[in-house]
Amino acid sequence: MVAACDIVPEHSNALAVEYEIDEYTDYRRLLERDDIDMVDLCVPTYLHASLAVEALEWGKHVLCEKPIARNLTEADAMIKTARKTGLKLMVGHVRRFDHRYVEINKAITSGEIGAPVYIRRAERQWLPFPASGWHWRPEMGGGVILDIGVHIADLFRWLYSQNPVSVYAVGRKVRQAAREADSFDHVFITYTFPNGAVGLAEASWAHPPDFGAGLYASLDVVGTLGKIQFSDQESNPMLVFDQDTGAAYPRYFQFMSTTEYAFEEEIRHFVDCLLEDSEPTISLADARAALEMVVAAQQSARIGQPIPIPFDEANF
Amino acid sequence: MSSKVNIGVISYAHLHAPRYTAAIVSHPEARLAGIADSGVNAEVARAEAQRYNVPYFQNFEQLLEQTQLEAVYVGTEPIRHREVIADVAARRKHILCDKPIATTLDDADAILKSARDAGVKLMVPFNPRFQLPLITVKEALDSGDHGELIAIYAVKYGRLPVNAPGPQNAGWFLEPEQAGGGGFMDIGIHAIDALRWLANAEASKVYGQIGSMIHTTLNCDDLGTMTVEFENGVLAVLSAGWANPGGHPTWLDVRFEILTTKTVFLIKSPYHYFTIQNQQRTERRYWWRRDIHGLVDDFVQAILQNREPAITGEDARAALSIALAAYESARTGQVVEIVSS
Repeated sequence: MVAACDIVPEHSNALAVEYEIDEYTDYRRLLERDDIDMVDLCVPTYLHASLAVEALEWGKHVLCEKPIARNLTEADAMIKTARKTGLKLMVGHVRRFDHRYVEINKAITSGEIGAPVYIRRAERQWLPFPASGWHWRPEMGGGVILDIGVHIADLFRWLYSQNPVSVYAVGRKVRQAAREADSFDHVFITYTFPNGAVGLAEASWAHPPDFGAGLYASLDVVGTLGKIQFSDQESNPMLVFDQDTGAAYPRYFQFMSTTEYAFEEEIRHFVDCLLEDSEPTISLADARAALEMVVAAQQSARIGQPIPIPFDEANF
Repeated sequence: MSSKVNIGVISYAHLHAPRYTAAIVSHPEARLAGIADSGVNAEVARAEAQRYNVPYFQNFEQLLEQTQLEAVYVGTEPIRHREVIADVAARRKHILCDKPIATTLDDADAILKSARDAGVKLMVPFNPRFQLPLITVKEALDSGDHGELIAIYAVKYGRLPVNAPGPQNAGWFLEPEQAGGGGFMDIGIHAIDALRWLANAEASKVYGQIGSMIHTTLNCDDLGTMTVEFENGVLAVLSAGWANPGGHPTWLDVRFEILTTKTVFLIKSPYHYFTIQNQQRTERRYWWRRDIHGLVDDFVQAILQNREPAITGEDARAALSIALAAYESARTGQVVEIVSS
């Protein structure tokens, strides 16, 4: 790592000091440097497309946060630029590097529970950002359907090894921030796969504060020969009971949603792909398909009707 | 008239019948008046009558002629509910009818009408209403201390009924024309009633995906997913069916996750349990199932106090209409709107 950039000087400076690297507040200064091969884009979703395209055109490989972009038009521009420049672009669908899900995926693909026919995935927390934050805003982060839903969409595609044929989504605007941003903060999304199998996503930013620390995620898989049940709560090996603070499931990572090692393995994988000139395990088609699932879900929640996939956003 | 309510049992077709018989026998204000069955599990019914030392009747009309009889539990196949209840109501006996109330809304309406015309109580036993975790949540929601109900995710899985232990033949559970549906109907209808009870509102929109997914040689569905929107905005999703593999530590897997504007209730089991392990397997054993006794007690008290039972025929009809809407949605791929009757 040679440089960090953030429009907030304190942020880039903190990284520069901690890792003894250069700091920028203007990303163009960073892109101009010939000795930088790759950038890791952690900007808000609405900036993915413009920055990724610019970085690729400056000759940088790009690891981009999820979702790939706000909409399919932007995603297609990014994919086109990656093809044109011949550089690597990978979207950080980090659940695929998380040992919880790597092991569950192994159990499924090895046939231990037969063919999966129902997968329910819940990711629930209290989003700690104000209504002005970009996560909440439909035009910036896409709200919980896009921001969290895309993790779940990718997980379904990964675990089922196929694309869904339709989606139906319902949502609520529970918290003040959600109502101000006019954006859902609790949603149920039903994806139907070609053989009738179902992926049921529950994504929420409206759970009580601290819920996400110990109870963030659940994953149930019903198969033709067996069943898998996972939850952060039940997999936590320890409960702490304190006379002042009561009972708590301790957290072992900064974010229970995504462990530090999962980020590390994701970045290591992308760097290995650059060093070996091999294709990332998460393809651009994967990233686009996951985005397609959630933009279709957004549309379904908006109109209250099921939406077929493939989804053509030009039709809506 | 004796101080105890005399209750007869009609049919051991339903796997729940032995439990209801036992609960009637053990209830201090009820008396088991007799057991009638000419159907699929007649031999089991006859053996139970012998065991409890009560009269056994080959057909239920004979049971209804018993002068002291005040009420019956109806455990026939749902397709027979309408015909049986017409006779029971005509004899002015109160009715505890196992679920689903009928296989069609037409039949349900006829059943409600015959009970209403005769002025008899009609109750359908939905277990969750008498399960302690759900009672606790319902009281918490009603207290107003937990803000507004937002959403519920419910799981209701059992094993294939034909694998149930005991002597009863459960083959009709796999025939939708007799049962009203397959696994989603059989096991889901309990949770559907619970969702409506917790939401405290009528359903307005239903979307369902239901099919023969697990035991693919069945002629009926065994797994379904349903999204329900209630008139007050509460959202609910139910996953239900015969999805529990033999290795699950209990017959049932029942979970409710209930979100309000303040609180999350995570129910991981309908009953309290301990775990027992031997050399081969681990089993989760319930140490108290008060729901059957609670249901029978409410039915008995409704008769003694001449009040409505906790779960009415209208409740059962509403649950059936939601379940049937989910099946219709699964067939058409469209959202089904429910018009409150």
